[in-house]
Formats: sequence, C-alpha cells, structure tokens
Amino acid sequence: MDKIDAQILNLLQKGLPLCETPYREIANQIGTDEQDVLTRIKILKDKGTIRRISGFFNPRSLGYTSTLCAVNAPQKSVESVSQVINEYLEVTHSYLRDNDQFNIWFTVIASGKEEMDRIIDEIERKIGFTVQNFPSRKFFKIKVNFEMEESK
Amino acid sequence: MIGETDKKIIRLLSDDLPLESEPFKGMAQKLGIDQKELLERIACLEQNGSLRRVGAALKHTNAGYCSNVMVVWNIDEKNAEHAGGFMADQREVSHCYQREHSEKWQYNLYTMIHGKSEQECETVIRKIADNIQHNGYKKLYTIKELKKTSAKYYSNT
Repeated sequence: MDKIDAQILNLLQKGLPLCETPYREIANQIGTDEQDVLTRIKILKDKGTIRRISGFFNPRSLGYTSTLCAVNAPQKSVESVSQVINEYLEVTHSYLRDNDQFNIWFTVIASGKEEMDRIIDEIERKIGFTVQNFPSRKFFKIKVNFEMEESK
Repeated sequence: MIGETDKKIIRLLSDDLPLESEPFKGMAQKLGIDQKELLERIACLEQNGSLRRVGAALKHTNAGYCSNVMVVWNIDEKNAEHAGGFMADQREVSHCYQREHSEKWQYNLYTMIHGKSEQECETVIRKIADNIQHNGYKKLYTIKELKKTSAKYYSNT
C-alpha cells in the first residue's frame, strides 16, 4: 500500500466530508485529483480492503435495541446452526470463536425489546440449543478506525 | 421522534454509496429533495448522535489487521468503571462493553482487540491484565467470520 492509499483509507474511516463532492475535498486534502481518489477507492473495494462506504448509526438513538448472544454448538452442527442464525436480517455480525463454553457469537439489532426476545426465542427453537443473551449494561468504547500506514 | 424523510435517509444511507463524484445526488433524487437539504439533514443526524459517521468500513483482515480476539473479563462491579476506562484507552481495543453475566459465565467486560499479529494482541492483553483488578479472563480468538452486514433500519418504510 502506498502513502496516498493509506491517507485515503484513514480519511474515509474518519468520515466523508458532508458536501456534494466529498471525493474532490479528500483529493484536495492529500494533494491529488478527484479521479485519482475515485480510481484508488474502486481498486481498494475490488480487493476487499474496503467493505463499503455508508452511514453508521447508533441503534439506541434510533429506538433500536442491540445485544450479543452466544451458543454452544457441537462441531458437527456449527454449519447448520450458523445457517439458521445468519438468515435473520436482524443478525448483523456472527463469528465462530475458539472457546469450549460458547463457540458461536452473534449480535442482534431489533426494533425493541419484545422483538428482540421473539427473535432469540425463535432461533432457540429452530436450532435446538440454548441461546445465551448478554445485553450490554454500559458502553465504554466503539471505534472502527484502523490506522493505515504506507507499507513496502 | 424521527420523521418519515429522515427514516428514509437512514435506510438509504445504510447501503453502500455509489462510487461517483456526487455520491449523494441519486439519493436526493429518490427522496425528492435537493442535495443541499439532504446534506443538512445528514449533518443534523450526526449532530444529534443518531449517525456516528458516513464513512468506510474496512475488512480488517485485508487491511493488515489479521489477528482479532474477543477478550472477556471477570471484574468486580466496584472496579468495572476503572477497568473499562483503561481498556477503552488502548488503541488496539475497538469495542468495550460491560454486559450482563450469568452463573456459568462470570465475565462481565468485553473487549475486541485487533492486531497485526497474535503477538501484538497478546501484548495488549497482558498490558490490560497487569493494570486492572480482575478475577480472570478468557481469550476467544476468531476462527471464522460467519456474517458481517449492516443493520437494516426502517426496512419497511
């Protein structure tokens, strides 16, 4: 990755300038032109370095509720269990983790507590394993910026 | 209360923006408002805290951060505030939450740690462990990402 790519990624993670031509603004900040910025972003997207450029919201201030859940699925059931879980639009993240008590961890965002409970109950019924719900009590940090540097 | 237009903006803005000189233009057209109004509304959503940012999400494993671990900590209630603050201060910690725990799972603080190597993650974990009061912790390395998408807000509006 060269210096300009790293600069673009760092700026894009902080946030797009809220103006009609944000990429021109970014180009001005790093001393290149708009077309160069657009071309580089296209390549970074094609390579999979950038997942997407979009709005990121705070679920709670939109009246939504979110939680983290965990399941202990035997090795042979991991695939079928995760398939059921991942089908839900409300499930945004899901990971297989190295742990003997709980190996599948997923986050749920729902439009209220009742809806949340309904989804969790339904998943539990479908997969046949207990879903442990670990709702958050206090939030200390959320930061999604990965500092990028030029690499040789 | 969030108005209908703002709900539509939130829904549209959750999807990947078109990669073009004026990425907000099409959205404004869809909503039947001009770009200036759309941008003002987005800025308002940001000011009131509903919107964290309009920006890029990276696939961190492709961005050189290939080691990702969720570490769960068992912390006494009275020490949680200090411990959570210390964890949040670490650059490698992206998420830090205090959560409900259960009899069988006594861990109540959760941190997501990202490093360019497992060693980098381990160094941060040790630094946290040495600087807070805890009754044990567990490292849950990511074996596989099974799903990662954006939340679908107001999908029926």
